[in-house]
Amino acid sequence: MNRMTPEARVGLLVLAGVLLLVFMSLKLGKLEIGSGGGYGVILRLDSAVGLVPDAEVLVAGISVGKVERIGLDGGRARLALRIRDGVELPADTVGSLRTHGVLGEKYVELVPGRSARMLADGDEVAAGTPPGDLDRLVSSLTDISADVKRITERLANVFGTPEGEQNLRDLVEGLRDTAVGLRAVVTENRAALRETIANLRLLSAELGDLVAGNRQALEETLENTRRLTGRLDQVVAENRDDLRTTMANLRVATGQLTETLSSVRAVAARAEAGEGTLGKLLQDDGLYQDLEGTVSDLRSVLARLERGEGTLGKLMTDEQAYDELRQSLANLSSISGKIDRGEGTIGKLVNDDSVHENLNDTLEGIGDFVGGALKFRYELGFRSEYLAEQGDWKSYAHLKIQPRQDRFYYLELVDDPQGDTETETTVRTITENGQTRAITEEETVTRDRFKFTAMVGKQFSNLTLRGGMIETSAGAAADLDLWSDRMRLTFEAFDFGRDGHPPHLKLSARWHFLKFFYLTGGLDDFIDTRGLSDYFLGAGLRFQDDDLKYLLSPAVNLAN
Amino acid sequence: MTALLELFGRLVVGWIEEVGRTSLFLADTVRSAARSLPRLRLVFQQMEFVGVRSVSVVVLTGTFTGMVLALQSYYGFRKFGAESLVGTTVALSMARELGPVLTSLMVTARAGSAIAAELGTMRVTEQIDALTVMAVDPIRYLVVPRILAGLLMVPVLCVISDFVGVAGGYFVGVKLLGINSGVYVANTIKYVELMDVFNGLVKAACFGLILTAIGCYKGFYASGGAHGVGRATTEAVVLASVLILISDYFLTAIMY
Amino acid sequence: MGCPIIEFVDVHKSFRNQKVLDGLNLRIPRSKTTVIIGRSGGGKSVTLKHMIGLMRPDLGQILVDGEDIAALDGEDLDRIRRRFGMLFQEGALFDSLTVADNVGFPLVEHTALGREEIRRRVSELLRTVGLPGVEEKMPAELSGGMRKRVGLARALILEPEIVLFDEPTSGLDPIMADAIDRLIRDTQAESGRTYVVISHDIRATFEIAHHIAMLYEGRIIAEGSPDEIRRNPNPILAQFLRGTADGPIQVQ
Repeated sequence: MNRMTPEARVGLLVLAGVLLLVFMSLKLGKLEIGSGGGYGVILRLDSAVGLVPDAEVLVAGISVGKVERIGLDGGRARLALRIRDGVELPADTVGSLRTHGVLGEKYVELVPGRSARMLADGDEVAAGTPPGDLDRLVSSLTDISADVKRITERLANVFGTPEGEQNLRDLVEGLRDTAVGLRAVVTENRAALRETIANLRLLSAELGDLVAGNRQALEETLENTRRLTGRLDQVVAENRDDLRTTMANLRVATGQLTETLSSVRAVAARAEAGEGTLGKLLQDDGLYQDLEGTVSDLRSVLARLERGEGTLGKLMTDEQAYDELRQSLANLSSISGKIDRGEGTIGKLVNDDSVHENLNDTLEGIGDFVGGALKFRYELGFRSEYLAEQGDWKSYAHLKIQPRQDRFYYLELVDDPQGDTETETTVRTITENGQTRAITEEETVTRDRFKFTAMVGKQFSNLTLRGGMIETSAGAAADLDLWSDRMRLTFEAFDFGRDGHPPHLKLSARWHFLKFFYLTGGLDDFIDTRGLSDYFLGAGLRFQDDDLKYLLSPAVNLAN
Repeated sequence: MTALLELFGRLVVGWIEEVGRTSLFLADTVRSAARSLPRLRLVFQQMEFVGVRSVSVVVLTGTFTGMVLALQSYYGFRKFGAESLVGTTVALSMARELGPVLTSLMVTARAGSAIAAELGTMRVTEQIDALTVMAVDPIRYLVVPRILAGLLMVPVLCVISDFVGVAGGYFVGVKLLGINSGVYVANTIKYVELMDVFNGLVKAACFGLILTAIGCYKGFYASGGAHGVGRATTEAVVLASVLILISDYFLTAIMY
Repeated sequence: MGCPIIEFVDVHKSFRNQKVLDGLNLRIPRSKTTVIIGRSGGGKSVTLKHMIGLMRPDLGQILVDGEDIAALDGEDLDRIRRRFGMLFQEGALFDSLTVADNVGFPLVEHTALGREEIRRRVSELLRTVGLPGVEEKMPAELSGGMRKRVGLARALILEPEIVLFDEPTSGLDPIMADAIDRLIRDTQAESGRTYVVISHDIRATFEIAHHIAMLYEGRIIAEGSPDEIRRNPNPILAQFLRGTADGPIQVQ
């Protein structure tokens, strides 16, 4: 041991320490994603109950990142997720809150979609329902019923107008006629009908088996149906006028049908099949039940219709929505009028897929642009530092504009009690007792109490580098954020041209122990040789984007 | 009553003055270190003194702390069948708290007191004045290397303490108490994050700074001969230990 | 007395309400040995420490070649200090370094000399102070007189213009004290440097001094050449020179 130099012994110890640390790192090897690594996406959920920061984000059961921040945004939970670099997720990925393990830890499950576009930093992920056999089935059904409701709403719209009502009445009349005719036909063809119904029952039983055996297929079918009804919905919306025409046609058709039926009745009467069949038919249980089923289906559809009308009613009572709706309708009617006038071309144009897609792309582009501007973040702050040796306060007010996650502009107004100190030399000549002497007077002048700082900054993980003008002189600075940004260490260097003196260096720490409020302290100008070095303590306020919105919204409302 | 209030007031003022003096002393130190770094050889000498010579005591305390933790938590956890969490408990306690705190307290007792005594002796025998007179900044020559050594070596000692503590816990838990070794290791790895170890090291660095800075400060301003040196040494150990425990609370509050 | 190298102008200094220097005015002549005498605890050491910036006056100026060191700081003060050497009362050798490292310390810190050159100069100076061959000893192995001589060697190694001595002979046996006195006298005569000695040893004072100043209650009450001091009728000075407890100086 005696032969070893202190350096060698220290080296051995440090080496041992580093080796142990590396060993532990490898063992505990869930290498952390720093706050800057990976990319961030936003997920808004109705509820984030039980979710904690740093909870896992899983895709197909595999961890791809963690929940960085949980916040409240207009009554919903806003989750900032950080996804590891190299994990590509389609833009239509949906996210949901799930639970696993006996301890019931919450995590966020992402289910990738099929889009070709991939999620990028700052994108938003739609909230989805979690996958799972039964869950998925139920949720599909819910979607379908929602679509059906929308169709019935649209239909109600179509039939709600006086014209539509007339159409409907005509239609119903026609149907009644048809039904009368049908009853006659039924009466006249009891046996055949019963046979048919029996077949139907058999068929439905088989169908039941089929369904039981093909649940998977059914699910797909349901999915298809959902899509179909979705499209149907769209078709109805797009072809309101056509529908009206169809309705008129239908009326004509039913009129014709009535005629046909009467001729059928005539034929049937001529065929002379047995009497009193109606009584028997009515007593036939199978038919009764089938009818009942049909009726109950009809009732449920009607109920939905009613509910649809209810929703519509609610919509109508909301004044703003009503105004908008009315305006939209006015616009629509003018547009449809225009389309009416230029029917051939515009009709084709409207129905042309490529135009539609172009329009979609354009809208998306506009959306991106507007979204980009809205993503600008702002921070407004004020702080005061008490310079202990100097016994005076130095105050700062700043505005930080952050166009991108990792880049910002920083503007600051500084009230420096020390100002710019300059030594002014004046030479005066004095004549005294016949002798002329030159007297040199040195005077220290303080000016420019107010100084400006303007910097561009870039963030690398938890290190931020800033450069530009600090306190009205060239300067650069570095910030190190620690412990989820609760602690910030800052090193600033500026005022390089102080004749013959070292640059102004400042070292400070900041502790954000409340949301808006922080304490700060550090060493100012600590390598100065003229005794200007000092230490300081202070406090500051800081408001960010969301806080600013809340602060400013009353003002904006007043302005309006 | 007034006398009591006056005494209390004087104590508070004295205490605030002490804080101010310590801060100024630290500011001087940072200024010295920033202006020009001390000779590497001096830093290495202090690193050897603070670090290498503390290894044995840190290894001993670390090992036995880990062993005791394992034993105690085993008897506690056995009551509701959670013996498998012994490893987690030992590793988490060592990494987050006991590693940094015990290491720093041991180094305070061993090196912090020695620093105070050495600088105190140098002060009362005018060796520090001699440095000043020879235009050698005593802060740069004596204080900066010691504080740097504390800042750098206590984290290294803490890593060693963490490791031997976990190893001691493993020995007691698996070899003596018969917890399944696979479960023990798996649970340790599952619930202990690398961040726990790193935060522990940050704490250790802070404590290293505190204990060497206090030792230097007390020694540097010692007065009154041999008696004064003795008092400075005691005060350094007590003040550093108390400050380590208090700052531990605040560091924990900031970190977790 | 020509242009003084060090000049105190109305210097005040107190510790915790106790006045130690009370408007001290003092001029140290260039290239001579000045001895400041006075009672123990009478402010001699404080005066010495003010000359080299170890202490700062509450009020007043301390001029070294016309430059007020009370107003200097950091680098500027260090620049002045390099013109000084100082021998402390107990030597103030660094316990952790060998004698050679102690003596060579200022060379290592302030010059770019090689190790061999430093070693050569250290040995030479150790021979001058009469301690050849102690290079590798530690300060703890030396006697008090040897330590003072090593301290003197360290104070002289940068060949300073001014050398300060804090009680160079206190605590030594008379023979060693005389040896130190001779060393002071010889090195001063040889180099022509300015020496400032504080002492309460009357015999030694008259042996080495070219100029003597008596400090009493924070002021200089008498100064002059040894002959002038002997003839000075001041009763306080007279009592001090006689070395008796009877007189205007009260022993508390």
